[in-house]
Amino acid sequence: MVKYLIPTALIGYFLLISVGLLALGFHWDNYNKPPDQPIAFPHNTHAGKLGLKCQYCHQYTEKSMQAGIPTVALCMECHKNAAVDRPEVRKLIKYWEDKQPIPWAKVHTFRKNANVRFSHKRHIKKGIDCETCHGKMEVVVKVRPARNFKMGFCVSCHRANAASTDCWTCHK
Amino acid sequence: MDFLSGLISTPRVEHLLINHYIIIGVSALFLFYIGILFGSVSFALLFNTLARSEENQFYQQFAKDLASTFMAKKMVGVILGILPVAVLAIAYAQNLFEADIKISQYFFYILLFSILGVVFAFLFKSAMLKEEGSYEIQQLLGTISLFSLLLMVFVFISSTSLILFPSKWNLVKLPIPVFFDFNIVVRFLTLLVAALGFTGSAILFFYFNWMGGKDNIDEKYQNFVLKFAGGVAIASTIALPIFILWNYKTIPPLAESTLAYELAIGIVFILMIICLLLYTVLSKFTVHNGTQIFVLFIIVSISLSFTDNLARETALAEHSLYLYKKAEEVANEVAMMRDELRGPAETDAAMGEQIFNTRCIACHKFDQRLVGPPYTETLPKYENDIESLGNFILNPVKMNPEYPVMPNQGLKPNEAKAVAEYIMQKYMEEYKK
Repeated sequence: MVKYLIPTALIGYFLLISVGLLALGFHWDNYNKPPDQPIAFPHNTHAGKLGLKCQYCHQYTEKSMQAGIPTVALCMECHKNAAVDRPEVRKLIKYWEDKQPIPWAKVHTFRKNANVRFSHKRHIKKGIDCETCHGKMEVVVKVRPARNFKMGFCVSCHRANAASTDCWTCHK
Repeated sequence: MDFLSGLISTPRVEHLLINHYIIIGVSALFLFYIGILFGSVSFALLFNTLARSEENQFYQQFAKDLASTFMAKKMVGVILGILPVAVLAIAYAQNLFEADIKISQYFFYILLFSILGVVFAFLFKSAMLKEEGSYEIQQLLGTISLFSLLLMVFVFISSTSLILFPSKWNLVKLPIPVFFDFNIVVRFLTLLVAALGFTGSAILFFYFNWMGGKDNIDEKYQNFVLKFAGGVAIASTIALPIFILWNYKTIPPLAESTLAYELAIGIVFILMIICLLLYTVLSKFTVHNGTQIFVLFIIVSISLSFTDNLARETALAEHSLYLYKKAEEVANEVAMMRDELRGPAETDAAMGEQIFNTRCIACHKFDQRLVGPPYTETLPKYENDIESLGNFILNPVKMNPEYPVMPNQGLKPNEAKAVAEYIMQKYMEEYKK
């Protein structure tokens, strides 16, 4: 009986660690993994291959706090005729025909209780590239947060660009 | 070694793929060897000290055995302990071509510390094997080697782990990676714990299994070595899973992937098998399975290197895609330069055709409406004014309310002229009624 006690305890220990890893993986899969989108929109085709500027679709980047998600109508300007046979474009056309907005999942976000007030307009006017925060979107197929959007990231960039680091600049 | 970044040109797709395997293979061998060197120097120092204070005849013998067995051949030290640093510096410089961080500059320190670590390990060995060697000199040489190896491993881990933190790249301005993250400390400790396991398994293998085992060993001494090496190795296999779990608890989300978790569970499974094998070694006092244990530890080293590289590649995914795109562009440019040798007229035509086939064709056809209007509708007004067509391609404006505005393609004037000439020529030859 005692002979098997230690090997059994060792196996139990390794299984416990494996369960811990499974739990971490499960947590990542469900809470931290980049979200699946209702339409697999290929940024690499639009911003890369076709060379569209970010502002072509995200039209409020220079005018507002929010960059803005393109309207279905804007997508349909091109996709009335372009690539209409592709399955993902068929999904877009279905939203258009049903007169429904596309329920895109939010990818870039700050911690809810951080009360961050971020203005796209101010950053673009200052000449900060979209890539600084969003990474190389012209090659991306599935979008994920390319930076961690924690305070260290923002503050270091503010310091490097001689912008205010006062709490009230970003937190309201 | 920052100059390396300046020497690197856009890597080709084949280079990037080969780099992937070079980094995994070379890192696994390098860290396995450095781990054993670090472990053997530490244990030799420890037993050399214990031999002075305690009257155990085995301590001095074991310290000398460690020095002669694991710091034996200078060539092995150079090939496995120093050369890989240069290879990895070039591989990382290619993977990070045009990235905002250049970690190859840190490889100068890694190379310096690895040379110091390896050279002083050999000096330590010579001092240990001298008949009347001075204890102080032995300890001094061993300590310098040990600290050099420790520093080298820390700079290596912190430099290569920088890839996992793109948000912090702009924080690192100094020529040494001084930024702190808890995950880097965990990775460093993981490697030290693994190093003890590598050393323990190597001692068992080289004492009891390699070429039939060492001859003429006293049985009591044999039991002492078996107990110590087996104990160290089993402690390492028990501690390593906790560090692996800790690593995944602290790893940045950007470097996480489902495959990484699956592989981590696989490594824990291998460690469990090693642990049970070591348990039989320690309970039965026989080392029949030393080779299996040693080989399994090599597999653990390769797997750790693979998962580490997977984390870096996951974090760098966008940059890698960017490099693949650049590689494709360079291949196209080379093809254009080859065309240039055939003469200017053919060059412009080839450039125009290439731009048309990669950019314009997505939205335009000659005789059919697509996203933009058919060329048969738009080109007639430019028939005698090709320059205006080139200007429109350079700076498009909304012309027809039925169609979306054409996006600016960011072409150079000569490229716009070439594509304008190409589509006009094709229109005149094939579509004009």
